[in-house]
Amino acid sequence: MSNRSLRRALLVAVFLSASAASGVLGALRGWPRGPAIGPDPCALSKSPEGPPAPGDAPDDLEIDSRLHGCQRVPYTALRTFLAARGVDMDAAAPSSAGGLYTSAKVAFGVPPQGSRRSEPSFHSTAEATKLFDIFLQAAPEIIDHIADPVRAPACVLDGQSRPMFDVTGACVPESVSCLLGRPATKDDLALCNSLVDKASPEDPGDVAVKQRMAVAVLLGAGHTCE
Amino acid sequence: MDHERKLTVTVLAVAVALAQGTACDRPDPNKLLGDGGAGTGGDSAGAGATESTSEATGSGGGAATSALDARTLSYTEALRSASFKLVGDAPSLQEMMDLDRASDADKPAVYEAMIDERMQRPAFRHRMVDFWRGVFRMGGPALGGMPSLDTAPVFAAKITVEGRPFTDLLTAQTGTCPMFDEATGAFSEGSCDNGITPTGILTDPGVHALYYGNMAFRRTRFFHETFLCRSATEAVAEPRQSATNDGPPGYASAWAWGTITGGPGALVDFLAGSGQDSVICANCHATWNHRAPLWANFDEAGQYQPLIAVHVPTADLPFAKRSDWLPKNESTAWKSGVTVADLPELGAAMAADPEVHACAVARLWNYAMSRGDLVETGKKVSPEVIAPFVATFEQGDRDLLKTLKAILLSDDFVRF
Repeated sequence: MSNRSLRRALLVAVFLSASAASGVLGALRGWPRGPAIGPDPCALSKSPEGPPAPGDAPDDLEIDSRLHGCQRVPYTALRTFLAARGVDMDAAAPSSAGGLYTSAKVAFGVPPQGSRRSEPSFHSTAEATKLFDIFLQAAPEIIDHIADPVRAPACVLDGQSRPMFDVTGACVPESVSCLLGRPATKDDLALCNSLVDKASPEDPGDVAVKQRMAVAVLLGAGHTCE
Repeated sequence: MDHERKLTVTVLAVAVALAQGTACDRPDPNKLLGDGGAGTGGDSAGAGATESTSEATGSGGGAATSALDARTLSYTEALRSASFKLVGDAPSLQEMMDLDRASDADKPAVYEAMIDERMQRPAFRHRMVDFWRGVFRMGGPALGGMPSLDTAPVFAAKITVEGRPFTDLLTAQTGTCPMFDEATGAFSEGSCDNGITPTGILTDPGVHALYYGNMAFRRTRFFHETFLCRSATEAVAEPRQSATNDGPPGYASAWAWGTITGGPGALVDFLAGSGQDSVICANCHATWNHRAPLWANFDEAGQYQPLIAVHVPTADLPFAKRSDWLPKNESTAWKSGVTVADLPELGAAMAADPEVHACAVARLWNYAMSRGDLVETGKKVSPEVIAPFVATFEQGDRDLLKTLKAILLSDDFVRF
């Protein structure tokens, strides 16, 4: 399986879910699905009293203002985040996560000095694509290093580090949590394991690919917006 | 090929599973798959538990049923979001689990302590410098005889981190060009040296170098957008509140018609013509022409000169004269009815302007809530939503640090 194929498969997964759910995180985590322009039709349909009378409901701007937008991880923060989870962000090889990161400034919209611009608040298509590339290339490094407290200090719990996958090949909850930035749930693990379980056990190469896919999907789901 | 086909099928299955979350059963924010039935605690995977949501109510009040009511309380999700804003990283596994293991009653205090701890880290200073670089759309070292483009954002970050009054940004007369050590995350004092007694960032050499342009209108736009949160592309820079109109049809500025330069003798006729064509210019220039002369003496390198140092965009690019902006006897001003004679008076007027205060708070709100920059995205904030924070900001010491913390602890921030 080539990197190109892996990347294409990952992008297909994420973008299909995004288009269906109007937002990856909206579907995954209950975040607002796209801009909150008006009262939530889902909520209205479930209200036993029906839509509220005029004057009772917060107006559209108030609703929109009180809802979180979709968080974009800034360029510098991406480095900090991945480095603390076992990825060598100083790696120079062009196809490494570190190499891709270093060359991704333009895709991330990091403004050149004197451009009178700021780093954008939201992902562009080019940035999202590059971000998935980085996650995909970071995945094997995370799998190799997450159990090392020196290389992945963010993933230590009660003085103990854990691998990404246990001896049975299942995703380790604490490690999934560390990648998501919040405690993992059973469903998080179900997603992770559903990918790993697709591997042919007798084919170590296939297992490695599926594990890499699982880590990249978790990162993509946890830290991107459409 | 077979491998690839199998993998594609796999990821398509994942995509379908993810898309199932589009139904009206809004999933728990701590779940990746929206299959409903999210319990409390028992739904956790051993590495943590989701918080109780059943008693959560939205902030809309009354019987309103809306997206606000559908939100769920999640301190761990809030910590994740806040961590990226404050220190540019997700919480460590240990931190998120310490918060998750706390009892429901203890979670707010544990969460607040984690916010406080982050605000003490060097990484927080980095983030604030980056935040203000974004707001000011500038940053970088001195190059090629031009001044540093970092002094203004670093000064703003220093004020923020140290809990100094936000209005120092507009009025401070010393220490307005500090430096920031990227390696240690430490600020050091610094004074601007561009030929004028400092007035906050109103005299910052980097600002004036970067935003140098004909008739100082680029600088005018910078201060307008930065401190009023209004895009310069809006139709009217300072809309009139009353119904009276002494200008041609379509003129909507708060300024009386004819208070800016115009007519056949003007190098640039801001009142040229009649009807809609002319008011397209005057609706904004009525405001901008009253401000621009105040920073017209800064040259291309941000140095203050005894004479006006910006040009008029006509064929031979002459240096501008005051009469190119304003008629004789017309005063410079911050807004209609707020005349100011110089930059210190301008800074004082801006520092006293409630609209400037509301803009500062709205910027923090949008930053915390991942809503993007107000001017860049056009994402307005409901005045009612930020009113409590603006009131505290104005009644207190205009402390951005306290305001940011209050936003991160607010009911809206901890609900997703």
